[in-house]
Amino acid sequence: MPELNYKDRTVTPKLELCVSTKMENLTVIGDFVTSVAKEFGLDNDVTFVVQMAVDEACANVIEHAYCGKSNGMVRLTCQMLDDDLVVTIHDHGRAFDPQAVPRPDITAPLEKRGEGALGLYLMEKFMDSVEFQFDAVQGNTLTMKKRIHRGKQAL
Amino acid sequence: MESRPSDLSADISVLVPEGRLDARAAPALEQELAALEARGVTQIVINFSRASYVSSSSLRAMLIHTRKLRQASGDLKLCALTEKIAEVLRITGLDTILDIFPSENLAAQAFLTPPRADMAPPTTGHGRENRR
Repeated sequence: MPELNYKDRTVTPKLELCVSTKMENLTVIGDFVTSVAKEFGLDNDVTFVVQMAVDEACANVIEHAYCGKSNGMVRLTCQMLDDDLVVTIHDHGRAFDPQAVPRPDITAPLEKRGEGALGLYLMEKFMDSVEFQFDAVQGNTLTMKKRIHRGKQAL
Repeated sequence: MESRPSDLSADISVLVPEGRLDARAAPALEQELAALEARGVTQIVINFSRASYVSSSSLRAMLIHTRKLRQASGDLKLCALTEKIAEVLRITGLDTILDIFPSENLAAQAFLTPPRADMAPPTTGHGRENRR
């Protein structure tokens, strides 16, 4: 993957995937993240956590933003900006308020353990930043960043 | 998804999911667990040796069914987790409420020999310390 120097920032071209909101496409999305990780020279641990965060985010788009309907589209982009892997996930489904979603209490005993929001919790745990933007015209954009410690990276 | 009786006892059912247990695959796991419960099976082991990934939707299914099975005096036990899947369970705190074993035999054995009350809790991080 060629690196470009743009105003003193090291950036790679943006890699993009656009697929319909079918659950089956989670496999396509997972394969895309694997290819991107290879291109960017990411190690197995980083690849796994990014795959997990992207899978959870896209599953949420399909299940919640589009209520399981397969006629929507989800667009995924990946780019290295200096030491950050920046992933964006864009859709035109239903918006939601991430602050209003209660995070799971992971110390609660089984009887009191809720089953919701585990995906959102994993995204926030695995990535360094998770930001949602909702716009009635432009659609919804989730931006997730992962700091890559390049010492051992091939890139 | 493969479902078979355990080598140790026909009363124990073993599920062996393959590949990525993502949101697409989770309903199959959920259905298989529900089908076993409908047949009166209360002792179930999920063998993860052929699974590479587990999503939150599968974790949810495991939580719901562990609760149901324990209410029926049974349990859901997990075994042969990859390092990455074990990490996901640790991060979500499920390692402290689900019973996790290194091998299928040990998981099945645990159904046959329930831990004695006077036994010290295991220190291997298999998640039985805070159970119930």
